[in-house]
Amino acid sequence: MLDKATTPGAERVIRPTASDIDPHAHAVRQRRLYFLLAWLAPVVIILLWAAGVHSGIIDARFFPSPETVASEAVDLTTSGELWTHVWATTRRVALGFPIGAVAGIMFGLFLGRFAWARAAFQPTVTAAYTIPKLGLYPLLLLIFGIDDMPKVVLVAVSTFLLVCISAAGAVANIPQNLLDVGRAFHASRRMQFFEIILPSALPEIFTSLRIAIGMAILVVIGTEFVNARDGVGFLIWNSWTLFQPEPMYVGMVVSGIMGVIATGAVGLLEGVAMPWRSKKRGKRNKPAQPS
Amino acid sequence: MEAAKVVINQVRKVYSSGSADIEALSGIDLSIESGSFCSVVGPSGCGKSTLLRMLAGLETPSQGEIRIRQRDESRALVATAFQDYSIFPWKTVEANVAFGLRARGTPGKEAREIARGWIEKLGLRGFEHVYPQSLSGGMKQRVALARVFALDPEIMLLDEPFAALDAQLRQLLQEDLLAQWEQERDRTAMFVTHSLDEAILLGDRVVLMSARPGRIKKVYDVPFGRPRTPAIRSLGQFAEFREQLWLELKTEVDRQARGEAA
Repeated sequence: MLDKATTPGAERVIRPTASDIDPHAHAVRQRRLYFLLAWLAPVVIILLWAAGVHSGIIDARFFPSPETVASEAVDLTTSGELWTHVWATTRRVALGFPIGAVAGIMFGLFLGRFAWARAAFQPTVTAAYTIPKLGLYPLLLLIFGIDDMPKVVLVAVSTFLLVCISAAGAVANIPQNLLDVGRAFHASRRMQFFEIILPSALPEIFTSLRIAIGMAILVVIGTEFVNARDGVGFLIWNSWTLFQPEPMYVGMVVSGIMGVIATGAVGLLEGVAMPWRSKKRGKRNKPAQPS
Repeated sequence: MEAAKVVINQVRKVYSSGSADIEALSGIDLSIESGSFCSVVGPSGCGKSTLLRMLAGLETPSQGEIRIRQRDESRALVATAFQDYSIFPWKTVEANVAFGLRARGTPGKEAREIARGWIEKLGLRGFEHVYPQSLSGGMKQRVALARVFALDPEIMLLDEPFAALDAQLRQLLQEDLLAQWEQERDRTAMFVTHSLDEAILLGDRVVLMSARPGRIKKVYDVPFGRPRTPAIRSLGQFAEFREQLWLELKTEVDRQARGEAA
């Protein structure tokens, strides 16, 4: 970056800026600033909320102050009740999401690869994707009983459909020149799939996984509204029916935090799965110099 | 000279785009002798890359046939270096170079060893485990060439491999390729290029193609023997031969440009 300044004597001086003088320190400062900025929005919202309650603008019976919600959260945590709910929801997502994701990636790449498969299944997949997921839930209750099973299946199906559509689309965007290399060097179908098609589709697949994990949590919480004895959704809905707003808010905040953590986890996995995209340059870090 | 390695017989290629048929190649007859280096030049869009892609097995002729004689079943028949490098961003330099070998079923360890040898010969030592993202254009093209050499094919197909490089790098890589070729002559090559200099420097013959639909207009024998060094560039004979080729090529480039404007 250059600092352009026009001095009165009609002379323009271009000098190095802070980021040019010490790029490393600048990068560190920048990272700290962005970390603080990430906390700024939630803190401001909570402060406004507290101010609203204490000034009487907001009805404390329906919208209890952040402090009371926080102390409720502490009570629920120390009693262990909150962990039971968080674990129940996490367990359902952690079982259903990977199954749906892997199946969705495989089937999506299969659809993308073969025109006849697209012709046969694409409209059905699109139609299924449009059906409200919770609308399927009563049906799943009939088939799988009332335990965890129908919840896990619903998460898996929801994830499957979303990821499948993305993966099929990703295949269409694979650069032809890379597919040509596979053919020109007579790579086997298996090698073409695992070493060309899958890696080139991964960036789009991971974008869909980040969307799908949030949706998976949402779907589980939705099913827990309907029938469950535990889970974050149960906590929210049960508190509502008993008219206890504090635990209801705890449940809402916790589900938000779970979403942030789960999306972050997918992001970490993304870094591991696509090392060539990271800014670190392989095992040896030599500057790129034509010899 | 030995018998023909590649015989191209009355090959025609027509692309259908909607209602219009575009004739890319028309009546191509060409044979490439075993062990020779055949340069192909012609105006942009004359179908020279299409011809090469047919030899690579990426496209098929609309009419006519191509026969390639395989001498050794255990050896790869063709390997291709592409204009835009086409190396995999998700593979390290070593894994990229080993790709063709592994595609042929060479065990991973052996493939990596052979790959490392070629990485070294092409001056990429120290970059074995680096991803292409951090390589310069010249280095990426060296990786693509190493991938071809590592496979040790009977026929090497080079589709404007230096087109994306700057003038100095281009000259450097031409010289590397020439040195490599002079060392191991047990191979046939077809080299598509826009540069007359590199066509002459590297080729035993230069095939000149016409504007679209591409036909073979003339085939020249390069007046320099083997082994040869980059020093021939400064000979008067080199300049004369280049000029002779250019005069012929110029009329075709003109025709193609007018054809495209119409």
